[in-house]
Amino acid sequence: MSEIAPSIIQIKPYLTQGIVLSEALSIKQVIPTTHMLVPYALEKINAGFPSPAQDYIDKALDMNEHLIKNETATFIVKVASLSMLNAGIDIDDELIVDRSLDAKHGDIVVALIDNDFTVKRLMIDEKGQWLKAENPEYKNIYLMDGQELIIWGVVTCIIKMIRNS
Amino acid sequence: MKHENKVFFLIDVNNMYVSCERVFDPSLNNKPVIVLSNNDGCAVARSNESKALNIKMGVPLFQIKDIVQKHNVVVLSSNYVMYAEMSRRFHKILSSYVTEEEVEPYSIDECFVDFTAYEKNFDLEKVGQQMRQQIWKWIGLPVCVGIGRSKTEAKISNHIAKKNQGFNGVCDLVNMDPCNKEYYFGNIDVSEVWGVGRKHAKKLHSMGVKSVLDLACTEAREMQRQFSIVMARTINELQGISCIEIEDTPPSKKQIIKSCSFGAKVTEIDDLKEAIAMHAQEACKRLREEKSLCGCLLVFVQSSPFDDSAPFYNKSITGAFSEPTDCTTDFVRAAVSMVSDIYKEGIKYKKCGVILTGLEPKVGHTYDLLTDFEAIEKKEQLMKALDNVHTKFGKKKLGVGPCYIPGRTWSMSRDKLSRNPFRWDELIEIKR
Repeated sequence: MSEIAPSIIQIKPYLTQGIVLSEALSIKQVIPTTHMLVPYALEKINAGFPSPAQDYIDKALDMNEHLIKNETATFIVKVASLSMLNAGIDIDDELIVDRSLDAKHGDIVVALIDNDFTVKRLMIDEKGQWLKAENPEYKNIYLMDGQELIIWGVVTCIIKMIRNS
Repeated sequence: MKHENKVFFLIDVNNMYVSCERVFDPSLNNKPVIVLSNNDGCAVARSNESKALNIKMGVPLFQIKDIVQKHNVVVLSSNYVMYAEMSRRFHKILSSYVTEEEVEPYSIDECFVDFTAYEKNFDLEKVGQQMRQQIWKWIGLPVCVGIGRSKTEAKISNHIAKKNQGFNGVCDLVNMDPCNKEYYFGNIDVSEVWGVGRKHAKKLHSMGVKSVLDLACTEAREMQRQFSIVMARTINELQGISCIEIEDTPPSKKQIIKSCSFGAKVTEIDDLKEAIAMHAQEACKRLREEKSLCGCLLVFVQSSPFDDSAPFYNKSITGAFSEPTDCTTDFVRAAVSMVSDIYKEGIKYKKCGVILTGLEPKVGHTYDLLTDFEAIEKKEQLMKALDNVHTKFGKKKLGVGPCYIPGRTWSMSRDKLSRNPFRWDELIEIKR
């Protein structure tokens, strides 16, 4: 341990010379620390409840709160199909999908057919469930024998960027 | 403290990494899939289909190349960022069943829940099924639930639920008929018991204690003499007496390790310095996140233990900081100088890393009399600025040395990495 300790102690004088430091210090002044309640924070397991005081402090509009009702069960997917164009869903739109909801007749859903993703309107009639395309150029999906329809999640919102940056 | 009437749940995700991959890539369903360790070395997760092909846990990929080819096994790199987010959601769902103090995230895919306070009001098995269905519906992960009078029992119970289809994923030992319980305990090898290591299992076997039932029938105090207090506690736990409490606040870390194998063999000192600088920076960042200071740094380098053509080179060096620190530049400077000291020419290095020990909470630290507080304050500001840049622009945008510039010769290979569906630029695409 002792043999290398001196080389580490040398670090101190090097750092206190501070050329790099003074630049970094000025950087600190211009960093705006925006606080966004992004629900899919990647870094840490969020244990514990938020402070109740937050409700009184944060009165600004919070998009996440507005668009996402159940953060734990919410996923965002991107559309690469025109099959739902007449329902307002275009290519590159992002969909907010809440998996905790029970899909009802008429809901737009992300579903699995033969282990492949599709976005369609769920229809439930006397014959059972089928998927309706909202674009005349695309076919509705009726289940064939042995085919299974798995609802992956219910679409609750379309995010449509209308001005390209 | 010993308690006889506790109720513990252990909820465990089946084949966690593979199951996470399947949520976002359903084409992997029903196929044999394996997920590789860092650097695409060994299989660390296997789907049931892969287990059926007799692919063992931890086996190096090159040893199973034939099986992989013959059976079209899908091979994936580990996508830890994605697994961590799924794990967060898994634990969050479970924490909604009880209070904060009653849940213990035990690992990335396991969670203990102390349900004692609610036992009277609920059918335990139904609660287990509800947890299972909710996690499946909300985040698409299959889990098994074990319920028992102690954490050790809950673990075994989970094992029973996993191995016996008839349980439908939930096994409740609390309300199980004692005869049935004996039957299951009698059929599980003692090595499956939580806290019984391979070494102990061997000794137990030689004493004729072969199954979980055999162990549960031993005399705890007698066994304490032959093993340790831990073994006595395990036996008590198997007898339904809880001795191990829920740990809602994980004990602060004793050490931080950051290491990784290289994508290709490294021979040059400059490459080694770059890699060690990166590990030092990342370990130091974790140190700051935990609000700790580090007093002692260990740096190690290794050649490949599988290389028959050259002797295994494994060297480490330890150094103490004159003042405990959490400043990245201190770490990089120290680590780079230390790695030069253990570098030997002509070695093909396969791995290097740092271990941070002598950790202490930052708030409790007393500086000595001669401390240059001005310098400390400057470092403090620098680290704040660095962390702010990382938060805003990503971890790889600013660092010490060239380690974050893409395409380093030593970079980790993760050829088959799935996308991270929690990033805007990597969302899942719905093509139909």
